[in-house]
Amino acid sequence: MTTTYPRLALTASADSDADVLYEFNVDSDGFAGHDGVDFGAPEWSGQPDAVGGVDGYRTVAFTHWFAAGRADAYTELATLSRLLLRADGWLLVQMTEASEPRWFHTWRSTPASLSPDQVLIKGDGDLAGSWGISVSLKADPFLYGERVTLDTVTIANDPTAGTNPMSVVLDEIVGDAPVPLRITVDGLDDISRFESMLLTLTAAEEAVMPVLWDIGTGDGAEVGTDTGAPVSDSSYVGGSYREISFATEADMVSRLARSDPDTDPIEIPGIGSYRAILRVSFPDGDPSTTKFALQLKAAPTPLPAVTVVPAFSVGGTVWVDLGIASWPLGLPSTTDAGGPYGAIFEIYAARISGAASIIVDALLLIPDIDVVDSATSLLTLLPDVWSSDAVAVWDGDTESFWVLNPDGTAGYTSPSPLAGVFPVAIPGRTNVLTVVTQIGDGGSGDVITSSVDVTVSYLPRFLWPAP
Amino acid sequence: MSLYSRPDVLSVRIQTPTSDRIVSRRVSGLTFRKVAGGGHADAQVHLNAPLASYPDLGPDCKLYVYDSAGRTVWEGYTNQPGMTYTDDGEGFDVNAQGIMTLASDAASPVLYRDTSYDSWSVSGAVTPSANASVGTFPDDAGATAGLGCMLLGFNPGQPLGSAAGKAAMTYTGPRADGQLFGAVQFVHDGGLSSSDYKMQVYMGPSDTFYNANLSTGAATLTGYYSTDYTVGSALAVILQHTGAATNVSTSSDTLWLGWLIKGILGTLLDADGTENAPARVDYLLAHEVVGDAVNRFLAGVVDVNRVSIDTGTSYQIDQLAYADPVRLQQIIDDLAVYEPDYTWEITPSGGNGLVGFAYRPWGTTPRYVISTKDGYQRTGSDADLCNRVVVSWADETGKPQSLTVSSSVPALGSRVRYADPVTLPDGQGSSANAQRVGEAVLAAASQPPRSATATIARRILDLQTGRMIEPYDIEPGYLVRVRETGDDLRLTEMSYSHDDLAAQLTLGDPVYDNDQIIAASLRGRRLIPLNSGGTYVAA
Repeated sequence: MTTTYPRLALTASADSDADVLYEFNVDSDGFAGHDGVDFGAPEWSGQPDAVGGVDGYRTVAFTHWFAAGRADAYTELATLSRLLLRADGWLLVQMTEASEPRWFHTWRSTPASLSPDQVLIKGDGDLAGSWGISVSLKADPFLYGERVTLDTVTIANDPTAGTNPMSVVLDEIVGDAPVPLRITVDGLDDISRFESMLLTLTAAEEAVMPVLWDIGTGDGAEVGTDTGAPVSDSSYVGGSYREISFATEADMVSRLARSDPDTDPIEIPGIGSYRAILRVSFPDGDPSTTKFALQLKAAPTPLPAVTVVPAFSVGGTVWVDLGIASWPLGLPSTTDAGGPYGAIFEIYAARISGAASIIVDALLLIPDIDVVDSATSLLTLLPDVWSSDAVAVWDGDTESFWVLNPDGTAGYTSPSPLAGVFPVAIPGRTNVLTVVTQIGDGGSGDVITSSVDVTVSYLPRFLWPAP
Repeated sequence: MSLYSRPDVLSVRIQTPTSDRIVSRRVSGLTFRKVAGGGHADAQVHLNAPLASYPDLGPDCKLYVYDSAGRTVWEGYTNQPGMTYTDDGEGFDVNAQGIMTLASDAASPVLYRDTSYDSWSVSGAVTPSANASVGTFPDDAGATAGLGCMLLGFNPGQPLGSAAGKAAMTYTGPRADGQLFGAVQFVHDGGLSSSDYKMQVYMGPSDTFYNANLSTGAATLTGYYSTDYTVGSALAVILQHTGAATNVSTSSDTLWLGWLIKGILGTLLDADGTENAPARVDYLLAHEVVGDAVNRFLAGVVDVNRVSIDTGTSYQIDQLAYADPVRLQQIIDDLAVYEPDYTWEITPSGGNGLVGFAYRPWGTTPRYVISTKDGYQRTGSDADLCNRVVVSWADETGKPQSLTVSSSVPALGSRVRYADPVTLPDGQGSSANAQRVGEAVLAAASQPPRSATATIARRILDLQTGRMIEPYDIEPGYLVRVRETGDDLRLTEMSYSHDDLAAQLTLGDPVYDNDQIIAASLRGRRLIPLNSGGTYVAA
């Protein structure tokens, strides 16, 4: 039996090893095939320049021919009809023997009509005849390739680490269309429960990494009210920090600044929006009785203040999300506007109640839209109940979060609130994944010496079958 | 259309007691609406899912819409969903109420400042010889003669036992559960001076914070909770006989004590759940009322660390008490008449599931910049500009009265134009109220209302964050600058349709009709006689 090309077949999944449920090209009599194949095209919904338009379904259509006697034809027709009437399925397309296979994810839709004109009876009785069946299938906008799994990388929880400092440049993403990722993170068992974790994926022509302002020794800062001199301590980012005591002024005033655009701006790679996160430690006594408010002022307007209530009583460290700011203000992304840009800003802090001081040691600016082609963020409140040593999995294809035991069995967990959009990578761009394992004020401590092992996989998406 | 397949679109999360999933791939036809004030108002979405998949979808389930930065664009509670099983398949038509509905959940009577004598009744502890009623100071009272008061006394010829005999009136007006009397102020005046009789103010359950010999001459008594008295669950004014047994004189009519109410204020609840005395007895400011109301009506659902109340309000509110159960939203809407330049919103929940709250000025600088090319339509005004209004009322004798109130409207030049006449409700007629209502009516008719709509289907500039933002990220409650015309208009409503990929903006100032203006101007106000001449003032 010889396989002819282009090959069309219904398979159990988008996998070369998957069971073939129906072969459109060959049959036991050696005569089968198809013609009039039309792969269709995804229909764009929305105005051409609309924000948030989406790719609609496409229609794949062809006529399937086979030669068989009546009994075989009956079996053939029944087999195919049952598959076409399933809720969804996978249609394999392989243009040549050397081409890589790709799959349409098909959905139950109106079957094509069957015309007596397509039935050619060549003889009497149960003699062989030629049967033609029109097949029409609604499918996801893009074809899928086999799952691609990137090498596992270790991401250091230290923005000054030499390798993968809280971010990693993903290997080249295969495919044509933006693709949701499956992100597997191992090593979270060191993290306290009920902690929020942020996954951000940015895509740009060239790698755009988060920008760090390492607060402490050599930070070039203008010191504000009640902010101390740099203190060396290897457990802090860059080996040093500054303490804000609130000794003379508890209200919201500038504590730390890089405010002179001529002499000490922070150089950022491109104009546009950045999410600013500040690493804050609460070292004193029982900080859980103290409330703080933090604010970033990206001249001339401040972002809304963020209130921080430490949930721990013996000191601890978290990243605080101060919001998304734009440098310079109000300028949409355009290469004509130049770059890189010298950003200036001030960190404001207030102590609303209590007597504790705070320590700040790093401000990280994660590029957002305007700076990159695409930015997608997902915030996860990690469940308070899950298997020990479990591996966390975020799957963009199914928009799900689950945990796995080390042996691959399903781990025990409770529902985990998710906020945002599952990270989406863009082929042909440089995709950077940033992992912030401790964000918010509900956990018990961020440690720069920790790390997580991250494995990214995805089903690549293509506009056309592989030639 | 489904939300799925591109990174720059929204995601939808449905949280039920038994599941918590992002379901962007399964939803279509998403629309949501946000308003000022209030915030997240309502949303509709169709969920394509087997009918058995969400058996517990109901009012305790939440719907979230996120943008690609993880920001909560919309949040609310699902209603009982409609289930559909049609040619289009199985699914749920989910209608959701935004989190602003939390402001309408709790209801309670509440006391802020009450000057009404309706709130007082004769105490059950009075002796048979006593009399107590709402009336006026007698003509021989001097400075207070003819002013309204609670008049206490003992009937001539009646026997009073040794240290026995009590005339009293008790406050029976509204208070919230657990709310105490935060501050009280009276003017008292007696018909004679005698150590045999005491003027007392009783604070339940066990405190007589004022106890003095009956005396002539008007004097003001002020007391604050925790400073002047330590309890405050009940309030009564008393004339107490403490002398030897006697018969009340039949020859002179001086055994009386009048209590004029200047203000009865409730305690204000702070974020820690503690009842506190107000800052002053004369009036309340809107932000003080809002602060109490948020702690009182949103307890358990609001994150006190994310409550932001601007303290810049200035209108002196002298009467605000709700005898019938009231909701937070009604209170803040009422305050809008006093502080029209403030708005409010319930902000999305944080990681602890508790929502935030903000009460803030509209501001004077625009936040968003749009273009007339954004489907901008400004409707013409057929509203009448007026600079005169005749306000009519019936005085306490039923005699008709009227007052012409005038104002300056530059657009009318020298033209004199009367608004439709206004009649004050029964029992609320006074020259002061007529002036107050007339000014409010003319203020509303002094400039044409500005209203417009725009449809935003592109990214626009947000001057607050300096970012170009998507249509679905636009927040009502801020000013919008129309670039070509230079108009700065209030953004009162934003409605986003994902099928249209556009946000419909409603711009302009709220317009009140005369009935609303009258109701707001006179809310809770009751008249007491000012003097024997029959002139009435609002209390």
